Amino acid sequence: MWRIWLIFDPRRTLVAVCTFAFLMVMLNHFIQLSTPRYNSWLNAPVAAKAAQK
Amino acid sequence: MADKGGSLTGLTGAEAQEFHGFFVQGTLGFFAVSLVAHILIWMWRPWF
Repeated sequence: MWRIWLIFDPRRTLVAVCTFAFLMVMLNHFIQLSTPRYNSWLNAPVAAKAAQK
Repeated sequence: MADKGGSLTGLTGAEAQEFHGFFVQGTLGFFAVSLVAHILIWMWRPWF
């Protein structure tokens, strides 16, 4: 498995993997924010009770 | 261009193995943090 670094440049790969991971994380957080169940963690706690039911 | 035995990136086998160790360690660290976060969120508000 380590032989992959004989083919793919470690620095470029690191930059690509970190950028990809960052985009995925941002996407997932915003998806969660668009759902009724998980959009309350940004605004006031009052909204949190509404989602408890 | 001197090609040291099939390495396209110029790394030696030892360097590649060393980097791979760090890469795997970092990845597992990322997974560990993510796992803890998901456990906490599940305890707060399960999604199933």
